[in-house]
Amino acid sequence: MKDYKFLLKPTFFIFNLLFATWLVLKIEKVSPSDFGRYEKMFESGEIRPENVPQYDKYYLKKLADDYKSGILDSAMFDLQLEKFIDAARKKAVTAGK
Amino acid sequence: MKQFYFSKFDNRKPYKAIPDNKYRTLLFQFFGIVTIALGFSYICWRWSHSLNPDALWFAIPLVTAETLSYLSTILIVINFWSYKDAKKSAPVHYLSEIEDLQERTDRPVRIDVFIATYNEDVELVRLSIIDAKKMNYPYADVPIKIYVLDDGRRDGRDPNKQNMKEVAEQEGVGYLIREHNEGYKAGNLKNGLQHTNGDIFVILDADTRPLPDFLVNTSGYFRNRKLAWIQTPQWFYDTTEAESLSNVIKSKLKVSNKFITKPLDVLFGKIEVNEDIFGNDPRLFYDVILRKRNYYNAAFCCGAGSFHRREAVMSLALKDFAEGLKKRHRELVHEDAGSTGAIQQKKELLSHQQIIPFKFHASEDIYTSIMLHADKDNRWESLQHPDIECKMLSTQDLDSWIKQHQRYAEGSLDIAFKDNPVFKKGLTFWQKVCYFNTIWSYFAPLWILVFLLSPIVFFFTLQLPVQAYSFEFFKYFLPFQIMNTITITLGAWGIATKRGDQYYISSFWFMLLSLISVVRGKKVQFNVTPKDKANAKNTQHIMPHIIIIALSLTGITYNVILLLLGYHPTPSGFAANTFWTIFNIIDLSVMIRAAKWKGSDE
Repeated sequence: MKDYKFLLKPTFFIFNLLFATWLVLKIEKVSPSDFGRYEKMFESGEIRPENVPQYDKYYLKKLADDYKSGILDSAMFDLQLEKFIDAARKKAVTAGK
Repeated sequence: MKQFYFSKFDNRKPYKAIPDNKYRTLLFQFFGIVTIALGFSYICWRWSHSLNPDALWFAIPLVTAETLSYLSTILIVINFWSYKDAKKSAPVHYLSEIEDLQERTDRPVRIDVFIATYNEDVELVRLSIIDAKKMNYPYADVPIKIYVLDDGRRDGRDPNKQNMKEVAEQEGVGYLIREHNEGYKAGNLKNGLQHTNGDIFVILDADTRPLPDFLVNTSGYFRNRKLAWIQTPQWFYDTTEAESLSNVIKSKLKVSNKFITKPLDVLFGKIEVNEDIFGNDPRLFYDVILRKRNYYNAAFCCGAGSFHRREAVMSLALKDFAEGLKKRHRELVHEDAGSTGAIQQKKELLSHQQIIPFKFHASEDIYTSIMLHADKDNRWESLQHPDIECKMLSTQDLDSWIKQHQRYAEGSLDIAFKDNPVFKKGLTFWQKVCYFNTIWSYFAPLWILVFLLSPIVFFFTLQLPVQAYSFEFFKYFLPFQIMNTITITLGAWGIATKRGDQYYISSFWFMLLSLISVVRGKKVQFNVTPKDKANAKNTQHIMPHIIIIALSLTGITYNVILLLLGYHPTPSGFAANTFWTIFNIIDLSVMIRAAKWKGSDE
């Protein structure tokens, strides 16, 4: 065992590098929904309106553009999206009646 | 005997060096690599995905500043990588233990102690002489000679000056002077070396008081025949003591009514402030930064409290002398070898060529260290000794503190611009990295200034340097920052870094002035640091701090009004920048407090 002691440090650093790489890649994939507060906003069947009218699509695109360019921050973006989805859901319920 | 302000601190005990721990070192290395990886990921994301295209004039300087700062982080991880303390051994007795005799007869080693002075109070120097005389050594036949190297020529010729020579004679130590001040402290040491013959010698400043076991604990290292010098930590034993916040408030408000003072004691009695208000405690530097450079054989000399091998500095000096002679000779031969005038000129030039053991420079200590480390023929080694072996006085007012640090900055930057160690032949790769780290730290005001101004720019333009302070931003930023904090804590384990961090930020202004001064080619001045309280005007040093704090507070107020009126476009931007600017204000305020600090006894 003593003969292989010299391998400990290189092994430690290789593991260290692999861990650091894994952590970086993992963080890149993290999204707000991973923290459980929000459901997946664009994938959940329940809250996604079945048919999104064209003008709603424009509104959604505008929201995304505003967020991307910094006009909206993430909190405002979330708020606007929630409003949009709520409105769409109500519309879907009304249409179902 | 004369009473000084620091007499009350005489009983202070030095701190113990942080013990090396291999598991903590491994943990640091693990976190260090993770920090570098996360930082790399953050910086890549910042450049590729986060820049606000509508405000590139703002986004680009900030991301550049972050990138430069990230380079500092990498250099810190490299610097903090590992301890490598040398094995302590018994004090040396005979010359053969530290040098090859080369047919000389063996004899007890000779030790000299130099106390360099210029204009300091002679009674202050007397204290250093008395403590130097008290130094123990186990071998009675080892001669230990103490010399006062007085560059102020206070030998009694000028009745307006104190008589240093008289004090030296009263104390029974040697007294050496010269008739000029060429080379400042380095020239003074050169003069000392010319008139003495110690095999190893200690350098002390006028206010450096060695502890009794200085020589016993350090001379044994010279058994390593490659060791050129040992630097011991500089311990400032007169730094300001912590005061309770309630006492500070009471004295500022001048209240003595117990109905007011009692609640103040209950509320603020346990909060302590003003400890080491000038950030003089250099423990992080000596116990971590310099000590860990032993790992790369790159610990440099800092002057006072260092112990040198004469052979090392003299071999370097002789080498420089020979090279200088050769160069001048070549120049003259090239000009006009035959003429009588040229021959005369040649003689004169050759006679002016000097043997200079310590480089004539405002930062003679670090410059000489670079030259010794780069000596390919001898491959000299250096050592940062972990334990405190002497005590010194710190600067007692902000103006002196700034002048002292300005000299360090200008000296190091001057070396960087004129004889950059990165391009120096003979230094190893890691030595170059360590010296580059030292120089790089003096460029910090370039990015600190951007960090200080960015929140202000946001408050008044409402433009973000990033596309948004979104989840994306924080998912890259926070892991890096958190990991960085853990890494620094592990690297500087056991040492409070708060004051150092504050001064790192609040030193931006004088550091920037130093940088500009060196870039403009201004000659670096060697000024002796005053160690008593001077009545200097400090306002000039803190005016930029006051302006930045005032602009920050005005900006916050303006943004709060916008928020209340519902006009603020990015509340999260406001929150992030307010948080950031509060840190800036806390850091900047330390220098303002230091400028106004008058001491507890005044």
